[in-house]
Amino acid sequence: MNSYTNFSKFLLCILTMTTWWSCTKDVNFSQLNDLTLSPAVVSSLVFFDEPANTFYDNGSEVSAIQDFIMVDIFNNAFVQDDLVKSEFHFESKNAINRSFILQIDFFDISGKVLHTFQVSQEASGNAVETVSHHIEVFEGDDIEVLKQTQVVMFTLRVAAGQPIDEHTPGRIQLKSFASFYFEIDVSE
Amino acid sequence: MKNYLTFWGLILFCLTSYTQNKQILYGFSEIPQALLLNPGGKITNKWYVGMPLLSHVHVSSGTTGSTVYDLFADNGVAFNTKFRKAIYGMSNKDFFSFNEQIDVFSGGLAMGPSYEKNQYLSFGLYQELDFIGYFPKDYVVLALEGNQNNINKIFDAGDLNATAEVISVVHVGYNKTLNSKMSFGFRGKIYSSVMTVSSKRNKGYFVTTQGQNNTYNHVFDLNLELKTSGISHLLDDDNSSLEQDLKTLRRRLFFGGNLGLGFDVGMSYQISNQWSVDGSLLDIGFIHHSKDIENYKVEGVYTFEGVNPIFPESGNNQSADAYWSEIEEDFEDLFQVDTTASKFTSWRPVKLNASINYAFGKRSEKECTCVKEDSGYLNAVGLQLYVIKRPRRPQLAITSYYYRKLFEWLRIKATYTVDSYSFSNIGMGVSAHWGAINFYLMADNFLEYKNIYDAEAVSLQLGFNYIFK
Repeated sequence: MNSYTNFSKFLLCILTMTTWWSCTKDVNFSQLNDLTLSPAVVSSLVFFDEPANTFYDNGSEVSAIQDFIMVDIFNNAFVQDDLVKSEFHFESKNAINRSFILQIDFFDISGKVLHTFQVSQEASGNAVETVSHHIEVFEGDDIEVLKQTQVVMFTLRVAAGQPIDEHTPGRIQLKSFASFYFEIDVSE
Repeated sequence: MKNYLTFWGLILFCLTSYTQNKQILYGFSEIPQALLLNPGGKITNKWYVGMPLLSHVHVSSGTTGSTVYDLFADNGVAFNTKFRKAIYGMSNKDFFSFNEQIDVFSGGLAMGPSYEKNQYLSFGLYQELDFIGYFPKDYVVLALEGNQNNINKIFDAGDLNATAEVISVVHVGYNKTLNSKMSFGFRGKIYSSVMTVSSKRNKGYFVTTQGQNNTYNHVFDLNLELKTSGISHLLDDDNSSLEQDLKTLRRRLFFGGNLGLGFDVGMSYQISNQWSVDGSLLDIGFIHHSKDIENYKVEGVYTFEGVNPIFPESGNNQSADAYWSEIEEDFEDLFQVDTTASKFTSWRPVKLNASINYAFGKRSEKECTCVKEDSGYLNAVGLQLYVIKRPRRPQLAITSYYYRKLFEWLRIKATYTVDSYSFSNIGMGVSAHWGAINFYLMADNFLEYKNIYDAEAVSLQLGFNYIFK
């Protein structure tokens, strides 16, 4: 057998071996379209911790404090496309002998009120701290409210009751966070 | 969504990616390219020329993590289940690597007095692509789960660790046989980087903890950096002409890129007639990147506890909106990507090879009526060690092999390798010699060829040479 025949046979053998050895089992790359990511993100929201005399200014009681912030965090593509549910959790503690109402209003860019809710806090009796919880859920059609929101207005009202002066004891505290639930469909 | 697809596309690309060990070629002294793995190795030819572009083609792939089959098997299991299983089955030490090498040209020539040509000069130009990416576990878990169920979990920003480089290398090697026992050699290299992307020294973390003033406290401490060279010019090309880009790439392949220097050293020593040892250190070198650089940096520390919109002034009459804007600006500053053009130096991944070999089984006189061409042994067994320096830690492979000179025209080598990828890597290489023409082919992980999609690592090398003995 000359070396040329050997060499040819060898190449043929290599080819056959490669074909025989190399095989695949069924795979389906289109499964990638089924992939859904569903992260749940928590973020701190608003908080305050104020003594009673914050509501006493220049000899008179302040019955309501109001301010607003302009938000465009709901305006990005990630929130617009993939946010499916959100819960706003509030925990308030009150050691002042007056009840409070925190009202939160959501406005769109034209100033139209999209959504309003209130977090009520009972008055404290005998300087015993009262605690209350409120969860505001945005789901289904309501989630669109968040997505269109441009301005959030906060109004804290002190309900009628025993007058507050600079020596009124106690303080009011609020802690809150939001849970944002996303459904990210990678095929979209 | 495109970003997500790109991200997972990249991961999948990595799953079919490559490594650098050439355990079958190492020590296969009939093949001239073995000299690239040990410049001090044994020489068995007077001169050779590699077939241009085909003298050495190497591709190899490896993942220590999930395979393509783990994810995409058409087995009725929900993809989301397989996906999560794959993610949670990997750690930030799992990596995907890719290596491809093509000899553009190569040759070698024995030198010295005609009665004892004990020196050998070899040279060539090759192109190489090298990628390694570690699995960015904490980033993926954060994207998958969010932070709600991960309070107090520190998401490590250092999990982002990847580097990719396309280079061309011109090299000249010198080998000298000192005596019948000892030979040594070295190889000088000039690197030209075509393009480099590297993000290796990322630090910092993100954590959500129980807060003091509010329910949660979020801490961002980020120090991330991505260095690139040779990319921005191609991307920013005003005329966006492919032809122009190809010209640029061609120029860089032939030393118009960022240049660097390096060398290989190696030796082999014959302990006795049958026992020998050898070893080499490859790619001790660097590339200095000074042209077409674009680096990106994100650096900052920020703690967010929420906003106090009703009482933000704290004595300075600040409105809630001004207070909120300040927070938004702080966030923007934190994630602000700074672009710089600072020069940088990248080090080549140093590789170490070593082996101990035992040759046995001389050719039987009875079986051979022809004139014996050499008095060497027909078989050899041995152990090889391979280590490559990688960004996080060196990767190591140990190979045992059996070599057999089947016929004068056909030699084979079978290997069993234990490495980061698997414990069942069986490889096979053949070198055929038809007159002066040499063809070699080697591949490893044969067991995994049963289902290539489930392969954790595969590699293939082949080449044609013209060898004059």
